[in-house]
Amino acid sequence: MLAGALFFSRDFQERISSFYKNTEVRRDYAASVVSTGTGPGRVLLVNGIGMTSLTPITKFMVHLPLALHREPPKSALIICFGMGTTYRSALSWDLETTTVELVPDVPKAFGFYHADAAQILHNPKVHIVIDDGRRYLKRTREKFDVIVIDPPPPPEAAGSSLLYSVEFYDLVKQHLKPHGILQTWFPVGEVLVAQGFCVLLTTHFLTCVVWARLKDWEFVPWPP
Amino acid sequence: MNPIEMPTPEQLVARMPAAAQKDLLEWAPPGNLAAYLDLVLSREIPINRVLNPNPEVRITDDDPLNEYFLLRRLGLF
Repeated sequence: MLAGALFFSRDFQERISSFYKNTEVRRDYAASVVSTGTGPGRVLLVNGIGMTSLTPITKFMVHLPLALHREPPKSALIICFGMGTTYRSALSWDLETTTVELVPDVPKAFGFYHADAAQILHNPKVHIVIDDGRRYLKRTREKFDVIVIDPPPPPEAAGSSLLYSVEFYDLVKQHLKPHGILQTWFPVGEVLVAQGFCVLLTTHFLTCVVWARLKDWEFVPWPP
Repeated sequence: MNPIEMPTPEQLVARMPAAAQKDLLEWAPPGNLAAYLDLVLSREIPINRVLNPNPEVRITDDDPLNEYFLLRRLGLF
């Protein structure tokens, strides 16, 4: 089998490029980042796992907490950059907006998903930090009006509890300003895990609101 | 510290700067922004419905019940 693998194996880049013409592959010390597809079908793969797609959900994830904030918000933190849609939406509020991304090449793919990426990155309110989200919060003294967390799926993956545990949310809470709002996305797989996550939220925050995802929300009309 | 009051979709729209309204409508079907926001707001699930009365059901660094799904399914973790 090993000998067969030597002669017949094809690398992931070669395989994905044969499926999709429009493919960009980046590799850094943390991961392989593949941006591929066209129009609304563009996807982001990190180490071969689909992270996110172009969907209005990623816009709602930041517009809702910012609009719910009782005073005009001044700062936002986005943990996990992904395609940058949430980050781009936060900047439309003209806020000091920080994003923390673990994989250095993920923000470099911003332009693959958003034609105005270069223009957005010239905004002096843009702050992109390459670091682990949890470690960043441990080291910074900054506090934010809104924190948005969109952890990489699935919650069952090894090491993912770093972004789902009681200890992490203790830390997040310390970095919210008074009346600050946390918004997080939770991809429900196992019911028990979802329940554990909701228990965690209700023990940390005064108000918890859960919105279910709309079933067919990948309908993005394209081009707009 | 007071709980968050849930504004109406129209109130939420009024709080959004013009650029943010434009951004949210970028991939929306043609229509009204308040109605678009209401699509999500009306999907609220009472959190009590998704809570588990068992206090052991929580995720901690030392007891990550979300991980090791295979071992959990086999009853080994």
